[in-house]
Amino acid sequence: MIEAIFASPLFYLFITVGIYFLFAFLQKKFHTPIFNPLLWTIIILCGYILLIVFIDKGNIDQANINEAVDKYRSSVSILDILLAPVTVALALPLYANRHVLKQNWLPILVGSIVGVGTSIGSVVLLGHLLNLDGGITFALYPRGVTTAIAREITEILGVGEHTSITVAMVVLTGVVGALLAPPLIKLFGSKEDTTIGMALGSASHAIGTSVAFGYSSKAGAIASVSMVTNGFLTVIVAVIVRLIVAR
Amino acid sequence: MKIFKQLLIILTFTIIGSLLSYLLSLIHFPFPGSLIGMILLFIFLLIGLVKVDSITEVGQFFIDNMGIFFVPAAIAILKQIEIISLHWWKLLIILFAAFVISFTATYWAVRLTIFLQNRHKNENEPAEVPHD
Repeated sequence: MIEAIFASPLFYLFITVGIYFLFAFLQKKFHTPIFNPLLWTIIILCGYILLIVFIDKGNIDQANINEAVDKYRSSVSILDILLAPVTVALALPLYANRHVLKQNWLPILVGSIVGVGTSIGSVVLLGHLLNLDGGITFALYPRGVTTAIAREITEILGVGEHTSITVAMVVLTGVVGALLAPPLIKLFGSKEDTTIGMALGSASHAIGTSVAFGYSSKAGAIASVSMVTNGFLTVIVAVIVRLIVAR
Repeated sequence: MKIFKQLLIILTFTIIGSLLSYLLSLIHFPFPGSLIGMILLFIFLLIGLVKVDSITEVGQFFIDNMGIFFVPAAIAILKQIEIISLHWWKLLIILFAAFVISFTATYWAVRLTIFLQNRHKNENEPAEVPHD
């Protein structure tokens, strides 16, 4: 009985939108990345799904969890379907900031190349040092890239089964970035717009971009552009890696 | 009506993108359709074939609320409990270390680029000779 109502497709859509809206509201009210709506929606929904499995089946084993997750995903498949058009819409911030892109193309190009290189390089190096599974290391390549592009990269690299780890790491990277970037910027000294905009957008994507807007609108504009150029460059690296590995 | 029209334009670019992506996959070149759609839309906006006003509301709604569209993909993490419980501390180290490394490197690379750019500019444009 409980399952029929509280695990119905409509109710799943309702609580997904509800939790997201609640934390989006809290984030706006308190201006803190701690209330990142995606992060909290993931955490609370995971807890909720485990609770439903427990009430419904009496024990929480992986098979029951998988079944409940599949049911959840098919309930809110509209969100999955809209992911591609949402990614296409990234053309908008790029277009809105085209003048910033044109005027600062050299620092943006250099910053993106260095950002992508060190991001992937550090994952490869740390993954090797920590003896991390190769598939998971691949899934971490795009951990600094905006989620929409990050999940495409896991598909290119052929580790689509780990996409959820990628998404979680991307979100956490954004939150960690929002917390660590301000003290790092203070330590490094320069508050030059292009520099902090590039570093924030490139290393911590959309969440970093909102932090950059807190410094200045130019820093935010640079960050919006770098978030997309960074994602784009990571796709190119991933395609090259895939073409090499496939041979 | 307006919302439908805007959604339709964005969906058109999405579908063209996935079509081209499929064609590329035939020659074993894996490139995501949504990225192709994004680039095409950007180009069409630049050359004025699509007016930005004709996609603003829907596009901006997508951009402002991107996070919610990733919830289903992220919830699948419940299927990876075993992997996470084995590797959580490695993931945590990479989470912090990779951010600090890439942030620091990008910051200094851009700062150096701007510094060199400014010096180059000053060399090529010597201080104006005062008129007397």
